[in-house]
Amino acid sequence: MSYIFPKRVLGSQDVLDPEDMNADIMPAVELLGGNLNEHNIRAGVCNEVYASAEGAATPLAPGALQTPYYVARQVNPSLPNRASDAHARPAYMGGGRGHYAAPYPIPMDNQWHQIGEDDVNGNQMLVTFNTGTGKLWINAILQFFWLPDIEPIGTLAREVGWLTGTDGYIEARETDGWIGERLGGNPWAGGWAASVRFAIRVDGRVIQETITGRTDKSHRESSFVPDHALFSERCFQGQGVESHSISPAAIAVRLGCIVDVGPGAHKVELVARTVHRDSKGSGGDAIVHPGLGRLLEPVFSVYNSQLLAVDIPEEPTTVADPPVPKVKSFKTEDDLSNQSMYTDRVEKIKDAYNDISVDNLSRGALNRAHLPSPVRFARSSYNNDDVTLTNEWMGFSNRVTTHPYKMPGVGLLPWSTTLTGADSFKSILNCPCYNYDPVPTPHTYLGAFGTQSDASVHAGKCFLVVMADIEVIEIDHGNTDNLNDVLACFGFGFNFVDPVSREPIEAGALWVPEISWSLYNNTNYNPAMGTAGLYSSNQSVPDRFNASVMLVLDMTDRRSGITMGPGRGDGGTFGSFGGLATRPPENNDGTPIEIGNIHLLGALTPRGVDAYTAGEISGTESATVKIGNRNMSVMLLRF
Amino acid sequence: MAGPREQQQIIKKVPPGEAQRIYAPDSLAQEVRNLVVTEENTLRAVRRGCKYEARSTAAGLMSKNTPGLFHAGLDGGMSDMLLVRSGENLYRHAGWYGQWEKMADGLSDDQRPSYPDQFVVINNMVVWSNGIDRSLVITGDGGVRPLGFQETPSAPLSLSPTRLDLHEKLSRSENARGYSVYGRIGTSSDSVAASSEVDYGATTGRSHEMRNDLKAQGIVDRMLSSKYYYYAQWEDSFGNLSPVSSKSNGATIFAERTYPNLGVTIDDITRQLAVKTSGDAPENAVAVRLYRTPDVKHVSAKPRYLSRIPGSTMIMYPDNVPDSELGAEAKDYVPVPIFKLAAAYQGRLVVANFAGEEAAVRVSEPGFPGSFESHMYAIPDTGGAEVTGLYAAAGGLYAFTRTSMYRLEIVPEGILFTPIATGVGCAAPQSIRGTQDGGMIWLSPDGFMKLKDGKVFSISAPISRTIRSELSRTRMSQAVAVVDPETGEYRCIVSRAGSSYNDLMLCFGEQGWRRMDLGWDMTAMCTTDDERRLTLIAASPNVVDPSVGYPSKETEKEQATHEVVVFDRERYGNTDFNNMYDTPESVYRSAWMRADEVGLTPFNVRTVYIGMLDSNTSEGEDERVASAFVLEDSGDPSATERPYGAPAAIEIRFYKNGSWEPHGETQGIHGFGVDRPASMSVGFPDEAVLGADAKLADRRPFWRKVNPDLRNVDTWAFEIRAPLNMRLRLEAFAFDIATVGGGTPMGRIPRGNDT
Repeated sequence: MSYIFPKRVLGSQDVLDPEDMNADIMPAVELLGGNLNEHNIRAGVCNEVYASAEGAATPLAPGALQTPYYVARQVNPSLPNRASDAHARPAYMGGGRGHYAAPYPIPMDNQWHQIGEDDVNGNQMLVTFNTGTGKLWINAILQFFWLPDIEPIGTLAREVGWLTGTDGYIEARETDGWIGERLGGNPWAGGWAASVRFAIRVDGRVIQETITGRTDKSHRESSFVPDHALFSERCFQGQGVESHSISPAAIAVRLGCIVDVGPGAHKVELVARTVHRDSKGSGGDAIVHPGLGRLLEPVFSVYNSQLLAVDIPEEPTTVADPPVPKVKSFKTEDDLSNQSMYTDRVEKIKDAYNDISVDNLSRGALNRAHLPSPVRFARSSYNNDDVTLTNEWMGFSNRVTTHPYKMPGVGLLPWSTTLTGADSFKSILNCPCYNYDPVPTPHTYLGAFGTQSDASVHAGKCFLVVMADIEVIEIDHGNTDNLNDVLACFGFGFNFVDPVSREPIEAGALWVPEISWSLYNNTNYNPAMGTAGLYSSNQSVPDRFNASVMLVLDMTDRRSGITMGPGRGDGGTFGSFGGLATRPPENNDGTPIEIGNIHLLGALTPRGVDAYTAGEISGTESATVKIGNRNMSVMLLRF
Repeated sequence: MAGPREQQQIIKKVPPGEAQRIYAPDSLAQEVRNLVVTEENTLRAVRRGCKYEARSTAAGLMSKNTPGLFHAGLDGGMSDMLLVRSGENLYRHAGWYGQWEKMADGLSDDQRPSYPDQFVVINNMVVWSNGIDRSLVITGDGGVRPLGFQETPSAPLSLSPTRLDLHEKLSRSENARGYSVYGRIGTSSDSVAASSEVDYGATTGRSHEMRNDLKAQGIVDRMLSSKYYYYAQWEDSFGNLSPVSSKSNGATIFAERTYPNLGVTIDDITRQLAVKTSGDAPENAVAVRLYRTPDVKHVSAKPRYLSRIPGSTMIMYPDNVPDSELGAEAKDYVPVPIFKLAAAYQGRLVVANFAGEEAAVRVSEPGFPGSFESHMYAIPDTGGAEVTGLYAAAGGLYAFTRTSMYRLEIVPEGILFTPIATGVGCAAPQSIRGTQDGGMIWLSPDGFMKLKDGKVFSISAPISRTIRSELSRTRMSQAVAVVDPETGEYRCIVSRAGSSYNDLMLCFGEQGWRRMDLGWDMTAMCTTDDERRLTLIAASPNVVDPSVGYPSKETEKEQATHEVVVFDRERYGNTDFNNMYDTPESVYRSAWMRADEVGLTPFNVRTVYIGMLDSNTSEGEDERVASAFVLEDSGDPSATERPYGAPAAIEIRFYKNGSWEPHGETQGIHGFGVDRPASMSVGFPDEAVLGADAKLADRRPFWRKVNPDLRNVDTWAFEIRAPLNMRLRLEAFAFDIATVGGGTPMGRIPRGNDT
């Protein structure tokens, strides 16, 4: 029930009628019997309880409200940087800091498979837990590559690489080599499609709206929507039976959904499947492997992937009998005394109202105005000017030196770090997470929550979730031979400030979680536009598409004694990921270092200046990636 | 009721005798003002009301026009929704903020006489309409969205494949040069002998290879020329559907035939189409439904379901669905009308009285209150009169005009209607309420009517003068009624003539009619849909000019904005609403009483016995009673701030021979019995000493007698008045009456020329 109202106010001249007296107090007792609803509870009361418990011996129990479940599978594609190779090719085995699991090949049986299933070396994209009635907020991201046949292609193949032919270089189709340009070509114009789907599966049920390449285009789903994308959109596979699937050869896919669940055990998985491919000669299926004498078998592999499911309860899982005080009703001729009036009745009711338990509440009594938000910090930023990236991706590294910007008189501004001019990652957007103030004052920005030095103050879990969407206008090969092996690369970089001095730490240095990199190729190639069996860009079809990326950092634990300097991160700290828990950085004395700024980084690989110097194709190129609108958001979630 | 000249004078026979009979208050009542009926059929003073949200600090949040007030428990009672439309805003009560939370603004605020806002609970959501703006849907989480669609989608744009280019087929891969791999759309014909093809010459543009192929084949498959149209439709988050768009441009597939020798099989000449929607969907659209005709040249021109595509942006859909796999035929929906009247019936939203179509009724699909099929439409009245009422109760759905009443039945084919009564209509849509006895009461232009067991009859004959003379005709449409969940009593707030607001509450129950006159301007009223069983009223108290005793030209300017008030409830510290301005009284006025059937027997009324229950003590000291009267007449507004329990008086007046001029002096009555037991002596809070001998005690019935000094009268009446905070409780009356003199009593009748 909502507000209750006395039938009458007891006045000095009123008769002490037991009927009226009972009407005065009994509704208040009945309200305690599981009938208190949202109107009876002041907004923010849980926040007050939460806040008051911060320094108390028994803070609000972790998981009392939302509960996160997170799993990551770090398998860096180990693409080389420009210094070591001219071609962008993922290794069959993942690399980088963290877990060196193998990429997960999606079985070709058209069935849904959990990513990483049966892999004893790496995490499976699976979380299991129990909930009551509630909702699950699920977010996931994965990096996908379409690899050539598992065996080296070509009679003299020495490399296990992507986009390489017999001699490690691009070859024409007629030689029966692997035709990299055709990978993910625009099927609208006659190219091929990888034809894979990704989705989130909850308790065995594939969530319809998360199936990529099938339904509408929104931030909750893949950017690649062949089903009904505009003609000008990337990888629109307008015709053919496999039109409902993802086509490009290199793509990072972000998925998300909110799912209702009932009480009991639940299983959340990130799943993938291949889709039946029976169009004529599609995907290289008709090409005979020269060494093995059989048709080529495409390999669809998943590399880095992350899965975060948050249980948002709607009702407590167990509700006991409401603790309702035993209050007898008044009867005529009852004595009226302090005992009968106050001790036996009013005081009982008062005490009960001052000690409300969850059992006193009705279903759904706590709404969003009452509950503390797990979002302890949130900020977003955006930019909409066009930027052309020419800087080459430096490979997987957890640290990069940049050029900070110094404003006269006010020191180094951590959020103004500029990365332009460096022949490495380029900051294309940044999100300030730190309230820069030369005068050390208490502040409530990201650092104050996510990097608490004393884990005992909050025993729950803490996650930093960073999302970004980038409009990719064009991935330009830039060469004269119309090749298509350029990847657009997007990742996140962090810099830090000292919580006391307010100055940037190692100004200009960025720590880059390797798992944050997302790589995309250009599929806008087709045979009709090229000559002699090569495939060139369809100039009438822009490359424009949206890249949706995400990084989840588990900042729950912390680790002391991490050294400063270039070695930071080598020991499994913030900049790395995987086998050792990712932890917020700390000074040598254990005090936390606060995040000053988070950058969205952009690059491309390979730059291609010295590509194609041998083989059938030769020449130079100068690839570029042009981007437009981009936005990013940062959330620190503490549960 | 009201003044003597407007009052139908109710006359009762009270035969002479010495208290031989006890009369219940309702049996003698002519006017009962500000008294409510108890469980024992006695009368007690109403407790006025208190502000629902006393913590609200936003002064002037609501306007002086609050035509919408509604309470519903959504989500199985989990979401307690108290909605108020005041001025241009729609609010909900947010107890967690101690405030009214604005849900929508920019609404039309028409203060001219009109119908109150409509609220209907259907499918776990509230549908709101003020008859002017687009109706809204309110969900339990506080979400507000438009109801369905008022717009119609633009026609989609279809794309057709080009003719096949056989040469390119040979040298290029699939899906080029007009090919679709694998297309599935097309109307094939029987196989024919190639020799029947007479046009394989060079003039058709066919290549040499094609002509050779033609000649080489014995039997070939053919596909006929076909044409298709697309239609679009929006869907909102509740599943409501918009009207179907007009048809697209035609998508055409040319006639083709196979060339088996060249590898062109029937799979190569069946085709795909594509359709592109406009993307101009309104904000509440969450999906687009596509419909397509089969081949209109050979099959049908009726659009059938093709696909549902989440999202509302511009889309291109590659259509590869053959005619045989198309879904159900598209239904013909109309845009959601702007409606003044609404009701929920059998899971459907029934709406009526549209702008420009005041006589029409429409019915939604079950479970989808924003989807109106075109054929679910009716004009009940033969003459096309405006629908003035719509209500589902008493076992059916009823529509009213001002002079007629119809019962509606909904069948899949449309709306059937049966006249129930002609000459009986409805004047106020919000006055129609189902009663606890299975009937239905409403305010017609001629008074209150009741439908029970299929019969319509008037129930307001005892107050017909009030209906005819006291009420405002022009404001009758804004009357609002509730049925009190506790007593089952029908309560209707109406406007007196000359008032812009509802300022009088008429109550009808088993004890007949009563009235509440609390000095409030009221616009809307509702009961709570929960165990509290409260009656809530959107009201503001009149500011009484103490110099005249009623709102004057000056004090009207001080009229406060509306508040949501809990009727007949009190709360500590509620002086901000109740006690600042006015001090209404409880009034019981008897009918005119006579000693025989025709009033020819003169009599003396020697004693009147008044049976009461213990109410407030006034102790009876003359000075205190007198001071109360002085306070009322002092002209000092602050003097009217009489706290609860302050000394006051119950007074009784007498009237004789049909004249409402008081006879004799007004007499005071104590509100408690004289023979209080020892426990009762401290039964009043200001006397009780906790822990001593204070006890609780039931209210005792007691009698007080008054000598009216009425001699040789033909008819007589009495009136009891008490300030509300005296908490007057009346239980019964008895009289000591004697006929005058001896012989025939009628000998005392004055002669015709007596003076």
